[in-house]
Amino acid sequence: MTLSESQKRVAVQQQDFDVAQETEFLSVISKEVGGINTFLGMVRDINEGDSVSKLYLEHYPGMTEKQIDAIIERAAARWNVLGAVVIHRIGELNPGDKIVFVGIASRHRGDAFKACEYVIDCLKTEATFWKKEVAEGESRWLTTRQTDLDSRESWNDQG
Amino acid sequence: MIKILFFASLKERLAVNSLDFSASEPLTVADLIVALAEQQNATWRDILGEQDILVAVNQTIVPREFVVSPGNEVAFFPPVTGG
Repeated sequence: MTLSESQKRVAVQQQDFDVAQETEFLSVISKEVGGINTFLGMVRDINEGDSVSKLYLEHYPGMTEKQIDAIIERAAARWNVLGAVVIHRIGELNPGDKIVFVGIASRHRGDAFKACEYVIDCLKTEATFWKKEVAEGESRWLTTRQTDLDSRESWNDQG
Repeated sequence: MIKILFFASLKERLAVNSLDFSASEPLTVADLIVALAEQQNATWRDILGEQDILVAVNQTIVPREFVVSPGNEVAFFPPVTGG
């Protein structure tokens, strides 16, 4: 079942988002919603020590939004999804900043839990974002983590 | 004309974020890489040929055998690290 435009919200943006506002959007979608599951991804301080690190996030405008939408639709085809929100930030971020929000509203909590985890697992291995860590004048592009690939694989679908 | 985009570490390694490639007829991504290396720098062939470099045509990931046509948008990028 595909979601209509009023049932989903996808945004890739520099500015911060409001978790309460995004959750509210999901809670008023319909009276059929029995459970909402949300995930919030934060910028971790990779540099444990005195030096401060920043995270820079690049993306492929156009492709990234399309991919996120496709991931949501795949989740909606597999589970009961009455509403979906994905907000992902780009640009310069600091440790402690919010990076990504995924929210799923379903009739029952089982589908909300699963669809939410599926969406973030897919986003981490498919969506065209790239992270660069900058610390003390040096920068390093992060590489895909095996745990993320393993999590993606555990869903047993080809995408 | 084929619009070619590069992202992230790849963009830095090649020191180019985009370029227009003039193609008179369709060609595979693999052939496009060879042509780009001839035009720009021989090292491009190795860099773009690296196993983990991904290619998208009109914003969909494709294999190297995919045939690209004039008017297409081609993007090369490293493995993704979002979320």
